Amino acid sequence: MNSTTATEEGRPRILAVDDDGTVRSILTRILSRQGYEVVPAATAGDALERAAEGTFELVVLDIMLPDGKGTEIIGPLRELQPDIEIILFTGHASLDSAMQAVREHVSAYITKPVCCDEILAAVRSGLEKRRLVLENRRLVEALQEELASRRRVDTRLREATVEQQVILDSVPAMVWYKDTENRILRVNRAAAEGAGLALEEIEGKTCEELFPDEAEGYYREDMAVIQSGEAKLGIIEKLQTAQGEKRWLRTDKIPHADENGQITGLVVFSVDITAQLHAEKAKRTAEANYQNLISSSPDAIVVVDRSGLVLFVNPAAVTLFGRRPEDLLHRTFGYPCIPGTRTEIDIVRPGRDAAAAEMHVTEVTWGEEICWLLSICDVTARVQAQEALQRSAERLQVLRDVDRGILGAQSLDALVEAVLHHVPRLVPCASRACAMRFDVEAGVATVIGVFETQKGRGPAAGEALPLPPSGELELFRQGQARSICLTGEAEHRPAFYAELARGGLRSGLTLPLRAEGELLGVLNVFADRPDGIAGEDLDMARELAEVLALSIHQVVLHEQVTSHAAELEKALFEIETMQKQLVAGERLRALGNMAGGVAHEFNNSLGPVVGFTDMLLKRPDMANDAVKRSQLLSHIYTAATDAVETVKRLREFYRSREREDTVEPVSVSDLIKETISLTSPKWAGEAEQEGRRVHIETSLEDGPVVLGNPIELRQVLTNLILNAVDAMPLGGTLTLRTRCEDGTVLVEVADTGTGMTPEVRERCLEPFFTTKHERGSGLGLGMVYGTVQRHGGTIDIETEEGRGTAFCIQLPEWTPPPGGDLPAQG
Amino acid sequence: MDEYVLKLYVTGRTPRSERAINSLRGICETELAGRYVLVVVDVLEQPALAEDERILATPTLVKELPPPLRRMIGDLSDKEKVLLGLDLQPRD
Repeated sequence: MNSTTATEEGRPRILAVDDDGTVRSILTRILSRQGYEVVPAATAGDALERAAEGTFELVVLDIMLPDGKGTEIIGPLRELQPDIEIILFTGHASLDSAMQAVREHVSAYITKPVCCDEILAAVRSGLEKRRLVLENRRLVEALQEELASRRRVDTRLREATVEQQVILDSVPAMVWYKDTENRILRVNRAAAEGAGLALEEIEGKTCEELFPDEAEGYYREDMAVIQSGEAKLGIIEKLQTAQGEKRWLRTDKIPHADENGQITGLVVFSVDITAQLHAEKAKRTAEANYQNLISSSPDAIVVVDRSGLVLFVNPAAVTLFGRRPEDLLHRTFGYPCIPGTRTEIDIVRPGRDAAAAEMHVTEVTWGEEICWLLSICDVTARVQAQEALQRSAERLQVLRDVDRGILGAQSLDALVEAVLHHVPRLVPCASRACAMRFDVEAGVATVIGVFETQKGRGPAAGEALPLPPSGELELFRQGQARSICLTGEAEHRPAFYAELARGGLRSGLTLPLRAEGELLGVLNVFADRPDGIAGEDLDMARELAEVLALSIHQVVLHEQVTSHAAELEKALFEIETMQKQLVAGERLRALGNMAGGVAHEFNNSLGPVVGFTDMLLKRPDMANDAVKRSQLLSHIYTAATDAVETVKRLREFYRSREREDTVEPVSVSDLIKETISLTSPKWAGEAEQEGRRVHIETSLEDGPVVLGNPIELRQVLTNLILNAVDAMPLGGTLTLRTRCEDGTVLVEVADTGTGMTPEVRERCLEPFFTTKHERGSGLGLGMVYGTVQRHGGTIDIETEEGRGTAFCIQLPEWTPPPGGDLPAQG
Repeated sequence: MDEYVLKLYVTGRTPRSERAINSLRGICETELAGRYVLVVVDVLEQPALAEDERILATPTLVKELPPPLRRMIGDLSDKEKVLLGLDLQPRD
C-alpha cells in the first residue's frame, strides 16, 4: 500500500501509472523534486485503487498497461476524481490513441522517450489547466449564486409590495402618499374608491389634475405640514366624489422624512365620517327630542335608584313637588313599594297643601343601573271633584231620606221630627237641635220639634218662648245665621238664647227658617264642644234648615190649600145650588114663554068656542036652525079640539122629569115640526105683536132617527128657535133643516138675525154667559151644548155679524137592529 | 326588645292613609309581633317633622332601626315588597 493517501495542503498529488518500474521511479523522483506528491501505480487496477483512496489533481497514465489500456480507465478515473487532469504517456503512439486522447480532452499526449522537461511542462500545464478550470467553475458558481440571490430579493420585494398594498387596502381609511410637490405617489383602494377613480388613474398624478377645485386647499395644508415637519391630525374636510356625492372626512396628515431627516412627502390618512356624522346628528336629534319630551311632559318624571335615591327630575316634577331641583336630587324619595305598577300618593309640599297624585312605576336602565322611572300625575282636582261628588251624593242621599220622611209625615210635628231625625247624619257634632216656629203677631216662638242625645237640656216640643229681639229677627229675615257661645254665664246671653240650652252644651248655632222671603222660625243646633259648628257641619246644618224651612212652608201651604179647598168646595156647592135654581128658572122661563104662546093659542081656540056658544045661547033662531047649529057646533068642536091639542102639546113639553134619563129612537124631523108648532106663539104671535115678521122655512128629510131623550132634544130645539127669534128683532127668516150623511144626522137652525161678535161666538156656549141681560139666564146654550154632548154629538156655529147665525148639530144616526124591536120605552 | 323602629308618614286620616296603616299593621303583626314600634306621623299635624325628615310624598315608611335606614313609598299593600324593604324574609 502506498503511504501517501492523504494530500498535503498545497502539494498537488499526482498519480503516476506505468508498468515500467524505472519509469515510475524516474517520474516519482523528478516530480517529487518539483514539490509534487507522487503516488505510483503499476497497473490499471492499482491506479483505480489509488484513485479511490485519495484526491489527485493529475494522473500521468501509460497507455500500455499489463491489465489493460490506460485510455480505458480514463472514464473510471474521472468518475473517482472528476477534476483530474490526464497526461497520456505512451511508447507506442498511434493515431487511434491520439484521437482517443483528443476525444477524452486529455491535457497532454506525450510519447516515449521523453525528456524530463517535457514531462514537467506537461504536468505544469495540466495542473494550470486544472486550476483554470476549477477557477472558472468557481466563478461560474459564484455568479449563479449571485443571480439566485438577486432573484430571491426581487421576489421578496415584490411580495413586500403586494403585502404593503394589501395592508394599505385593508386599512379602513383612505391613505394617500404624496410628495412635496402635491403629486400623489401612492393610494390605497379605499382612497381610489373614495375619489371614484382607478388606482392607475391616481398614482403619479398631481392633485390639481384630479381635484382642480380642492387641490389648492389641500396643498396649503400639506405645505404647512411639510414646512413644520409636524403632523396635523383630525382635520374635518369635505370630499366631492367623482359621482358628485358629498362625503365628510376626518384627515390626519403625517410628514414623511428620509434617513437624513429631509421631508420627502406626507401620508394623508382620511376616514369617511359621513355615516358617523349622520349618526351623531341623529343621536343629537334623538337626545334633543327625548330631552324635549321629558321637559315638556305634563307629568312629573322622577328616576330613583334601588335605594330610593332621586337621580333625575323633570321640570314638571320640580313644579309638582314645589321644591328646587337641588332639594330633590340625591334625596331619598323612597323606593316604590306598591302592588302592580300604579298607586295613589300624596305629595308633601313645603308651605302648601298636599297634592293628590297618581304614580306609575316602570323599571328602566339608567346609566348602568336598573332604576325606577316614576311618572307622577297631579290628580288633586280630580280627587277634589270626586270627593265633592261623593259628599254631594251622600248629602243627596240624606236629603232624599229627609224627603221620604217628609212625604210620609202626616202633620207638621211628624214632618219636623222626620227632618230632625237626620241631624246626627248631617251634623255629626250636634248633640241637640230644636226647631221653632215664630208667630210675630202673638210675639211667641214655639218649639215644634227637638232632637237630643241627652234629655232635658232645653225646651221641649210645644213650649213657647218669647221672640228674639226685633234686631235679631231682622237679621234672621235676611237669612243670617247666628253662632252662639254657651261657655259664658247664662245671664249674659241675649234674652232669647238664655233659655235655649243648658247642661253642658258649649256652642250653638241659630239658623233662620225662611221660605219665599218669609221668616218662619229658626233651627237651633248645639254641640258639646266649645269651638262651634263650622265647616262642613255648618254647610249641612244650613242645608237641613233649608229643607226644614221648605217643608214647613209646604205644610203651611198645604194647610192653606186644604182650607182653600174646603172653601172652594163650599162655594161650589153654593154655585151648584144656584145653578139648579137657575136651570129651574130657565125651564120656567121657557115654560113661561110657551105658556104665553099656549095661553094665546088657547085664547084663540077658546075665542070661537066662547063666541059660537054665546051666539047659540043668545040667538035661539040659530040654535033652532039645524044647519046653522051644526055648523057652529062644528066650529066649536074644532076650536075645542085645537085647545085640547094645545094642552096636549103643553103636557108633552112638560112631561114628567123621571123620564129624562131614558132614551128612545126619535125622528128628528117630527121633533122639529112639533117644536115649531109648540113655539109658534113665540115666533108668530109674540113677534107679530112686536111688529115684526118671522118667516119659517123648513127643509126636513123624512128618515133621520137618533137615539135620545125626546124631551131634552126638544128643549135643545126650543132653545135654538127661541134664540133665533130673539136674534131677529126686525124679523127675518128662520130656517130649519135636517139631513142624513154617513151615519150622522145634521140638524141646522139658521136665522138671518144680528149674528154674533167673535167674542160672543167664543163664549156663547159657556154656562151663565148671556147677551140678554136680565131677560136671559145664560143657561140656554149651555144646556144645548151639554145635551148634545150627552147624545154623542157636536155643535158647529157659523155666524157673521149682521148676517145671522147657523147652529149645526151633528148627532149619530140610529138604525134599527136587524129584525130587532125598538128599545123598550122606560 | 324593640328591634324594629318604623315610622309611617301619612297625609291626613284619609282612606288612603288608613289603607297604608292597616296594611303595615297587618304585616308587622304577622312578621314582627312583639318586636316593633310603629309611629304614625300625620304630616298635616306635624309638617315640620316631615320637612326635617325630607318626606317628599306619603305614604312613606321609614325603617329607622335596625340599620340600614330604609325608606319606601306606596300603599304598602304588597307584603312581599314591604318585607323586602324591611330586609325581612317572610315567615313560613
